[in-house]
Amino acid sequence: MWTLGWRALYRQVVRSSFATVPFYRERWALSGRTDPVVVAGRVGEHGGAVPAAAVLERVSDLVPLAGGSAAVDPLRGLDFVLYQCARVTPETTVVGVAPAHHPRVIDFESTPDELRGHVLAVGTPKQLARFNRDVPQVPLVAPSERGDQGLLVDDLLGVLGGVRDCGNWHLDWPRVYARETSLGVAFTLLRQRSPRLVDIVPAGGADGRVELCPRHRSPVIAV
Amino acid sequence: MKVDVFDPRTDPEPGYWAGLRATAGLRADWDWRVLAAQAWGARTVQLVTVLKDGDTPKAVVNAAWLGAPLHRFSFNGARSRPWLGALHVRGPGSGAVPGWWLADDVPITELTRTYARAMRRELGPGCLALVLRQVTDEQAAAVGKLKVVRPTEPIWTFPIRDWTDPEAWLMALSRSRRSNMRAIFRKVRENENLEIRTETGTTELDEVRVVEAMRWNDDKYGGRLVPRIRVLSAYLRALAEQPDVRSVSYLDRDTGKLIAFGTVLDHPTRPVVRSWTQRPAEEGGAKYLYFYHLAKQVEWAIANGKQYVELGKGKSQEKQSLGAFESAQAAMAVPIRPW
Repeated sequence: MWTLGWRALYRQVVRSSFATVPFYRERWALSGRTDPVVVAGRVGEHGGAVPAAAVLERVSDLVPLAGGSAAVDPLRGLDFVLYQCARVTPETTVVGVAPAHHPRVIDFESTPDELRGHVLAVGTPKQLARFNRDVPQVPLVAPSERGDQGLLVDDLLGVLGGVRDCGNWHLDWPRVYARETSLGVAFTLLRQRSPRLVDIVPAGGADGRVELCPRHRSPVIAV
Repeated sequence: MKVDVFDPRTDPEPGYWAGLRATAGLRADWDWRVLAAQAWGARTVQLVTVLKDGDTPKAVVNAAWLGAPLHRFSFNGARSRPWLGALHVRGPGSGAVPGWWLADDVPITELTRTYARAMRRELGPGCLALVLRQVTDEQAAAVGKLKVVRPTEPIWTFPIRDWTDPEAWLMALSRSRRSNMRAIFRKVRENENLEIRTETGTTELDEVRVVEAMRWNDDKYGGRLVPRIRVLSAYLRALAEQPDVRSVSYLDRDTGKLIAFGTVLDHPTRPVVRSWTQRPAEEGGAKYLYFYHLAKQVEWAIANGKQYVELGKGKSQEKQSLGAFESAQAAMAVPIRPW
């Protein structure tokens, strides 16, 4: 029941992608997909899910017929997810990658030896290795390499979710849909018109189940 | 006559299709897999109709059902059934070749009577008119009084049978074009960076790059009101895999980039030079490659004993200067009785 609106929006994105985006038109018309089925009797492979590597070569085919951008933002969604998963105030100094309009940002390269005030380091685990444990950190991890903290990031899909105070991997559910397929968890960007990304399995794969967080009542990726 | 109406998107290939294609001399774009990919990638519903006398196919028609509502920026609906509109008979994927074939003993009135009525039955009373392209004056005269006939853009053809060898073709051209062509041949020969790959029935075509290249053409020639619809790479793959399709890729050896691409649909006597697309000049394209491409097709057609090579519409000056002749074309619209 809790997924009703979320699923409805996803089905609408699938319908619209089939009608207007060459990549999905070709793939789902000739091979097929499930959940929803768009051509009767054609179920395709892996329920229509596609590995990110297969899509990266064809980003221009993900632009709807009416036109649009073919640019991929590997940090799409950071502006929303970071605030849900870490304490970030206008006074916070973010080291590494930060939301677009955050006032206090320092590059990893120009980080001073001594950091004052409230500091948050955001980057890949390798980039964060230089900081000691006292500095709050948010690692950006691929879905296949997720541990117990950080944000889920894929080069093609952007930031998909992160660990919240409950310890669960929360999806950025108003903007990201997740679906279990035989290829792994496939993600759909519900609000991105172009390039359209529907049922994409991130690089390296993504294991897990889509469940409901008992505390926040919103979708999470469980082990 | 018995009428079979097929939607290539979902209907399986009829058993007699291969035989019918051979009898009618239908080129690779009429292969069922190609038709299916083309129909899925079209803006309108595409229907293939076969008129049969007993079990013998006597006519085949490919038509687009231009029904309301029509959307500029979407492919045809998987289950849409437009309720009002007209049937536009055209070659699959191209308006430059006829979309119908009739056996010698079948008059064109079979299309305006039997076919039109069958389609009205199939599509409903909202199917108001039939538009046929590539109609000759004689054919137009044979149809009843209620019709509108309008000339359309002429089609250009190389009279290959007039030329015994490529040199004879060059000698038939004007002096300036001849010297220009020789200069083009030299330029291509000396350009070590240019790789020309001609493949027949290839399964190794990098269709993603070709489709990207075709977008330059789409953006250049597409109308603002109704832009050209993007070609699906599955369509191009299915077409290039046909044993009678020649794909010619012009590549930059250094970067591996595709500079230009063209296809030729073979036929025992009248092959068709189908799509041609090339990078804009600022991205490494060169106009002379189009002339070179056509010249090579002339050489190939002469060597293989073809009678004509169809070049399609447009680029009249260039085609004329290369020795092609034009054939006047007319489109005919006929109303379909709603009862």
